[in-house]
Amino acid sequence: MSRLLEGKRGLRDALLGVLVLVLLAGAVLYQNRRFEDLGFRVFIYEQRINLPPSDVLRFATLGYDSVYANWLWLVSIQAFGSGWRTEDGTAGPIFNFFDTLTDVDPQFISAYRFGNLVVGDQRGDYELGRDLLRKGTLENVRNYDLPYLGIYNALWMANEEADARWFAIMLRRMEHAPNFMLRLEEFIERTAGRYEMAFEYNVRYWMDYHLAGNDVERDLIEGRIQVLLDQWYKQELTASAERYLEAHGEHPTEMEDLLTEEFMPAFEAPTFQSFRAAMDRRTQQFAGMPARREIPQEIVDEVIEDSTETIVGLPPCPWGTWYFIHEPTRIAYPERRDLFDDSKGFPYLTTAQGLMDIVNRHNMNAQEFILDFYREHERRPTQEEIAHLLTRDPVGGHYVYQREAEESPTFGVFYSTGQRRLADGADPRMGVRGPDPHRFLPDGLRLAPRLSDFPEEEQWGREHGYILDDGTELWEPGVTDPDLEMLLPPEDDEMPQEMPAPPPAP
Amino acid sequence: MAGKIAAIALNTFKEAVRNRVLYVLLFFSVVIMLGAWVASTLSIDDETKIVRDLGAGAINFIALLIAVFVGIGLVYNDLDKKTIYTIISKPISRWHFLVGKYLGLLLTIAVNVLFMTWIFCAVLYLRGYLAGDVMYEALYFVDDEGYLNYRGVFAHLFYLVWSAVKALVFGLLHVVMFGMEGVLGIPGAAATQGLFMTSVLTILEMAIITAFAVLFSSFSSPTLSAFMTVIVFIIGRLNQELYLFADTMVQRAGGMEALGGGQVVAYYFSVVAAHLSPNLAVFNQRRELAEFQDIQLGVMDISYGIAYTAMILTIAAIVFNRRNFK
Repeated sequence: MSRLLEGKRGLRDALLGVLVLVLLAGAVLYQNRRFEDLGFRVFIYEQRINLPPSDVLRFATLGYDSVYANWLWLVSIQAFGSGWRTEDGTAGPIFNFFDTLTDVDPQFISAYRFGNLVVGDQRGDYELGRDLLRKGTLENVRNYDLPYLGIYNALWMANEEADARWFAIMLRRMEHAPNFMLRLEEFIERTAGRYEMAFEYNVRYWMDYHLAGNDVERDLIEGRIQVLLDQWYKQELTASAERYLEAHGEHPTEMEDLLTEEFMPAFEAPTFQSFRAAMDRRTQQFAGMPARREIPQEIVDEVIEDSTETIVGLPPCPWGTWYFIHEPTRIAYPERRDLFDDSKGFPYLTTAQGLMDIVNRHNMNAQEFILDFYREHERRPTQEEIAHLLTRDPVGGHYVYQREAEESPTFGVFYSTGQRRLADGADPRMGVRGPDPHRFLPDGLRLAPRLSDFPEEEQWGREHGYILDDGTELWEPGVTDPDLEMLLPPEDDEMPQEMPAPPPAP
Repeated sequence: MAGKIAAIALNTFKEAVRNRVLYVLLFFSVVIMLGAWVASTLSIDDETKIVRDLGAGAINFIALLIAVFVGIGLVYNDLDKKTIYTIISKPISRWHFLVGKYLGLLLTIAVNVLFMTWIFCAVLYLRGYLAGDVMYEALYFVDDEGYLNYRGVFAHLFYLVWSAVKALVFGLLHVVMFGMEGVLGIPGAAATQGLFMTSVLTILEMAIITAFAVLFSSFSSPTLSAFMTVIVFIIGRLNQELYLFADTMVQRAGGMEALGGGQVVAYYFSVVAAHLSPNLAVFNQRRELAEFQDIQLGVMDISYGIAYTAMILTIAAIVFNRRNFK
């Protein structure tokens, strides 16, 4: 220091040094004050998800666009993890992010799917999610995941049939798409109630699979046609019941109430029996056709024409049973409409086949009970121990437990007499159709199955308290309100049986 | 003539492989490839796409750096150190010298690209061998009582080393069998599908870039050469975008007549630049590689690359012939 201050030059340097320090201190203090004025800034993720326009990005990436897209993809995952915070809370900025990402790399399938998940599912903005999927579908003409996801969202998230149809048309162009996806067009039309179109699709599918020798898929289509015709007929029956309700102010109590020209006018529709007969007649015609040939429209039209009948009165059940009004559901329906899906018509209109799910469910419960009992006690339950399961079934019979049967403890010892009668074709109502009165049925036999229809069932009913002395039938002994849980037909599965779960989110 | 060119090319190659910059770049390429593997694990889907994309991008980018930073000093260094006098005093044409230099550098780039391809293939193979289910099967067994048992730490270490050796060997097979090692039934070979072809495309792309580097190096300083080569690379990569930009500008304006004065200049500049500059997008199929699509290497693409390179080298030879070394 002393040397520094030595002489004039040293003094000057020292003064300059001090001046520098003073200026620096002033600058630091001023800057510090500016920093304090900045205040607290909330971190908003949107600052990161706002990207420059994709045109600019494509220039800036210099051909390494897919590498940059990968980077954005990783950013999107991190952003998802932090909740995708946006300033206004909307999905718009997130959509823009994925829109830009997919502009940079239009083949980034996962980005479309993930973007739809975030925008459509998480943020609930179906339309923006759909737009992403549409873009992905148009950009990737060989990828069937995106249109399939589009259909799935349109049908089960937003109920937008028009959107679903658009994706289905795009899907149709992809020959390598799985069969169940290609058949979604039929499902869309069926869901929308356009049964004629759905039937035409199914006829074509049936013939395609038949020509290709694919019996499994062909049989699947046959089942689909049965479901389709059942829905078609139920729509007509529901319209009849609505007319009845309007005329009488109350729901019909029996199917016979509807089978007049006033409530149930004749209608044109295919029947499963006619369809099968039409196909059998064409077996020779098919034999000469190449497997991969597209079926000419004339043949499809011919089959449809041959399958179509004028249905008067009761429609024929596609499964060979018959339509009737299910009494417990009819009783419960006006009071407990919350249990039913009104969009499917009146739920009490059913077929004997339609009630088999209830019977099968009961049989399964009984088998599980017997199995558990056997595990615990190493013996089969007695009649008394299983008595709570020995009730009447919904198709005019009752459940039977054969303790001494020779089969295994879990198979064949528990069954429904009503179901067995149907399986054996022993019920005289099997296949009944046409206008009432159904004179070919035995005297007094109505469409709705009852215990009193058959002497042995009637005897069982009287012994077990299901039929009172005055002939009144109960669904549970001593109980006037039926147990809905056990008696209601299960809701139709919204998804086609072959429809797998939606594609998993990435 | 061929012998003279080959001698210069070989000498250039030897000179280039002594360049430390090369090894630094190669080191970084290996780091990027391993980094791609790590980055892919951050993804919740498409991990393979990411690792293939980043790896192939790294190979391409490092090749570009080699082409630019080694290419720009190629002729200049001989001029600067006056070694050119000893060469051209021999019975050798200037264009022999230039083409020899070019081929030497191209050989260097090709060898490096193939080296990086080998390493990247090894990374892909190793990634497959260390995948959860594959490693699980190798390191666990079910004993007589039906319990899962771990084979032990030494078995684990052996598995890691053995996997690395296998990956390196199969990666080398990929290169020497021109990407056809899958026909030998090597497990996990599908992961490297299309990589060799992508590397060949990278070499073709670098052949053009190197030609430009040699051209600029023949008449300007290394800094200026690097700058101009990078500009050519950028325009070449944006070739198609430039054309689309001009086209879109006209469409948005509603026709050529509606363009303003500045826009007309921009339009013609873009169109001319797009047509004159090399179309490097032809050699960029890394997206197809990432998506496991077929890599298309057409005769027209190869011919285009060779012809464009020949054109640039011809210009370079003309410039170099006229150059005064004093």
